[in-house]
Amino acid sequence: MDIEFLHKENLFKISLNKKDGRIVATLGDEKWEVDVHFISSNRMSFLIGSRSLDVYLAKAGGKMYVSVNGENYCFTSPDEEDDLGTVRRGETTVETELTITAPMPGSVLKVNVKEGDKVEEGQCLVIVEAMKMETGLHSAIRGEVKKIHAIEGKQVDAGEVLIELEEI
Amino acid sequence: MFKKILIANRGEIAVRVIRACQETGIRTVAVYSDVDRPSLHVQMADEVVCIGEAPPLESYLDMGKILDAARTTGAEAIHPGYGFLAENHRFAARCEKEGIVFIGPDSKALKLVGDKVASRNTLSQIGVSIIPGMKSTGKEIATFQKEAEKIGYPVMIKASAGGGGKGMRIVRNPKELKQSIEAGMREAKSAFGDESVYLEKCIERPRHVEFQVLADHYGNVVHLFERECSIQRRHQKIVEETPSTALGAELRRTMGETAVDVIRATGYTNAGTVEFLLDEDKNFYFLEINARIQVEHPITELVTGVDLVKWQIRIASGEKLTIRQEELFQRGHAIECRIYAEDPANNFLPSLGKIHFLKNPEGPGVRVDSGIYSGYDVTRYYDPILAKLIVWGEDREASRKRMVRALRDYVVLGIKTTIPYLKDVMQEPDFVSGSTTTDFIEKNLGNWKESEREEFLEVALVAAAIQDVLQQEADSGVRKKIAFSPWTTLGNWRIGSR
Repeated sequence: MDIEFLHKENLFKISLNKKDGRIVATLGDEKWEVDVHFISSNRMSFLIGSRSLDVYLAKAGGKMYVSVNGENYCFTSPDEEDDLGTVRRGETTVETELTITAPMPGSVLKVNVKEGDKVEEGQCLVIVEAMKMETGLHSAIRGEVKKIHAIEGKQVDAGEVLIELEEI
Repeated sequence: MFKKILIANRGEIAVRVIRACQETGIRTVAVYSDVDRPSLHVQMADEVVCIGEAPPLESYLDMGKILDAARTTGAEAIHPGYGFLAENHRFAARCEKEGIVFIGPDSKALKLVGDKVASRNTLSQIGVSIIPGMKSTGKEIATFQKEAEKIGYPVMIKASAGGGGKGMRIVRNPKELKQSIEAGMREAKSAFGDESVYLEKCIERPRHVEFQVLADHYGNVVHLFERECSIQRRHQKIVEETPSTALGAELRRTMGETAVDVIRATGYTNAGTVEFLLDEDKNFYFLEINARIQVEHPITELVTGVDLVKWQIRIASGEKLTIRQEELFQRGHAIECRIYAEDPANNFLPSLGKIHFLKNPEGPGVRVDSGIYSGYDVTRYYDPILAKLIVWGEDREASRKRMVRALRDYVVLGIKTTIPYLKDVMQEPDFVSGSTTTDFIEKNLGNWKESEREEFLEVALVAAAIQDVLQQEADSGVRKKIAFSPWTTLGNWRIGSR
């Protein structure tokens, strides 16, 4: 059985087979023979040769969270690429320079600019608040405020566009 | 002793107080906002009262609703925890008026120490050294501008009603002053319901050293030594330890005695903390009294063997403090790491959502004070603190190594936490050597990135693949009829059979 995962934009293909009660996993050129003991729906114990590894897993929102011996990893399935594509676009600098988006769910505390205002690079445009901490969102460019979507006091979700800028 | 106590808080501190009550044979009443229905404190208390909607002003800061809840349930006392109403003298006064015991100092002492400006003035009169700064709070930007010039930049903005770093900001030049004052006032208003701020001289590269005290209603006051809380981000403590690597026996004694003097001079009772800034030449300045049980109280409990929350309750119920100063000593070394729902790789933005899996660390010398569980949903409304990991060791290095081990043993899946960041703090050479000043984070970990160890990446991928196969099977209903058997089979080949 072949399974694919994306990790930091790298695609990994894992094939799983069974041999003598163990799982043989093939990953690229490497073959791993793993003695797997299932402890609970979120926990497995791996023995690879004499090496013991404590593995915790949780799948949520199209992501697979894995912790191995205290190290954390997060994988996505390539099937979820549409969702992932959106997230990725949000992260590209080209777009975020012109759209100021809420970095986390919270509420809009203060909008410092009006539509048509000229803004400087580094200028604080809007302040959002979550968990009692204020986060100022700054302009990465010199430009003009094209449109303001943010309303003071209103709840916003992560990724929601608050302000659109225009280059001048 | 009280028969029933209401806990006017949530999260890990509400859980901590409930445990102290359970061990003392006191019934507990939890209050909660509607989004907190699934919270741990609601599950653990004997009785619960819903006090409104999620925003703190409509629930945890609503004095009327909390007092109503106490009356309805017949609670004789209210433990305010930290934050929310903990240092609100108006709330303490209303409790006094209604004949409900406020577990903390009385409203008069609370008012004095809560007014940072007034308390500094009172204490400078008895010879306690304070940081130069404004003698009163201001409202006008012009006043602040004038005062800032007089004090000299850099200046520190502080919330008069403040604590926990809320509202605090360093201002390095006049251009930043207006914006910072406004932000400081807003933060102070939303955190404490009081927007008053003042300015004081900013001492560079200091250490933050505080002394825990207990004072009863009969004039007995003891200090329980120091906590070093210099590892801070945005003026929020993230790691605390005791003893401090900066104090020798003589300085510790002097600062301890000063802390006791401060408590006596203010007429303060119950548990409190006297905060000092210690400069590079080991001069110490009184900062403020934290009139509450503090987040970092467990490290003091571990090295002194004194249960501070139980003593808060005993003192409030009128018992005499039976601990004498000469009987107190520090045994070993304790460190606390605060586990926040924040993404340390992404400017510490709040990380909200469901905790799909949680495993707390265990083992000798490890204590976890936590408000979360597997399946708990972290909401946007409250402080991002999820839990505290506290360890004890025979000496500092044993304690530090134990903390590294315990952090590795801490599994939180589904949201980002500060755990990986704290692992790096513990292993930073300046922390290992004990050179901890308040600029530690900025200096050493300002631009932190999570270093993923490639070593386990492949193992994680294999595990994820196995989990995925099992999940698909479970979803497709292959094993639906046999309860929980996906974990013993994998596809058409059985793992269990050999």
